[in-house]
Amino acid sequence: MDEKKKKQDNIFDMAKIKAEIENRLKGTDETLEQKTQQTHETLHEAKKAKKFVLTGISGFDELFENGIPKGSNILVAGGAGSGKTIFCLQTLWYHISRGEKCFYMSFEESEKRLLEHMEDFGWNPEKLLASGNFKIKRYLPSDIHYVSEKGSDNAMFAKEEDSQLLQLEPITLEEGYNPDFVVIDSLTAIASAFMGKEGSYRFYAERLFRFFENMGSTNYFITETGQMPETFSQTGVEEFLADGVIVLYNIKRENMRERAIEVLKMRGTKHQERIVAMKISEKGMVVYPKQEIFGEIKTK
Amino acid sequence: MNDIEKISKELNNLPEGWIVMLETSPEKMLEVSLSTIKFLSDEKNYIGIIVSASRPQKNLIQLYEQKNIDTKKILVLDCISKSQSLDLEEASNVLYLESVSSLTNISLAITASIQRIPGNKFVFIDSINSMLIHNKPEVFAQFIHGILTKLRIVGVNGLLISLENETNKEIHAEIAQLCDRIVKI
Repeated sequence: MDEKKKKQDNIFDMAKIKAEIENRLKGTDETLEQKTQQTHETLHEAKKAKKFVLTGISGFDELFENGIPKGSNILVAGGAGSGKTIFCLQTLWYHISRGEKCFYMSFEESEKRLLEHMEDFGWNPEKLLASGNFKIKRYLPSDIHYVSEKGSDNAMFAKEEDSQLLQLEPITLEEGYNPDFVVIDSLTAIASAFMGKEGSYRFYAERLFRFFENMGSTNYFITETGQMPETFSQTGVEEFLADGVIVLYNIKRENMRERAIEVLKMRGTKHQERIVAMKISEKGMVVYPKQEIFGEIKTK
Repeated sequence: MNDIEKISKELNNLPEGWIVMLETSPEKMLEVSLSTIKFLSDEKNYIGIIVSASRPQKNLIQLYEQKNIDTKKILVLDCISKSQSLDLEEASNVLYLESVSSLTNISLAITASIQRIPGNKFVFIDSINSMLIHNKPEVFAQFIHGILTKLRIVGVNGLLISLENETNKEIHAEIAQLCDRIVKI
């Protein structure tokens, strides 16, 4: 055996390498996690000063030059099972863990179910709630304060109609509560309360976007789409109102499904303009910013 | 000159970072694969990353052992066993991937493998034809282009095997233009 061969045999531990590769594929690679953490810690301070925010999702923040501009209204769009809720909860977890106030407004799933999702990924929701920085609340369509621009004709809730209604905000938040990050889950559920009144919904959506814009928080608006969406919201108008659109895919190809993510639009920062691979591991979402997706993805 | 002598001569004449496609008949395919892996492993002392779309790991390792190939220097990316619900035998040199059509995952596994495995190595795609059974040609072309380009950039050797005259012409042309040599056996 020559010296070169001896050397290679000695340094080679396939079992260890295999475990490292497996962890990388599962998104549980400690080295990757530590690296991401270090990068985030460094970037977080820098971004803070420049008014950008990070998601804390491994690999995702690398899609941006600077992160997400603070105070943006962002659509998080995707089909069923594409990971929209996980994406949003993971972002909140990252921010709550750093002492920021985060609010999850659910028009769909119960608080209990959402907390269970967080528990599944080991994000310790009880601790987050106890910190006082995390609020999670389920809303009903009747919590929507709506009045049409034309007056009472299109008003959604007749009993609430009076001139003072125009002074109401589109949604009630606890007085004096100013969260840093808000998730609205979802615009699709809100739109369903306006069945047959698309014009009214558009007007309401605009008011809702302006409300959160004025509040100064960074906001995720979840929208349910098809798996290969042509539009990324109920009426299409939300895409123009939003500062950013993040699209999640759960693509069926042959007999398999593959996950992917894309930053379709983000005002105020440069970002990668391609669809990249994403996985949901036991620790949450992992994005592979350099891994393209193979196959047909048709978007507008 | 026998088949393996022809292959070894071709490979020995190429600088590191070569990409070669072997074209052979169905009858010779297995023997050509095994002989080439043995040459690269034993003679060249390379570590082999085998992307198997043709045989499950269990069968492959048995064949390697029969051929006296040092399986400690082989990592099999098994794209068969999981999708066929076969018993996934725990072994230090196998990674079970979802299926042959899970191209993104295969690409991620190849990337992670070439990053983590030290020293001289080669990636062996076994085989083009098997992968084409499970993937649309245009999608596979995109995949193989991405993989070969990646290998070229990082200077890792790449070996592909396909059946002569049986591969989709456009795919064949696409792959051929990215190879240093097409060796017909």
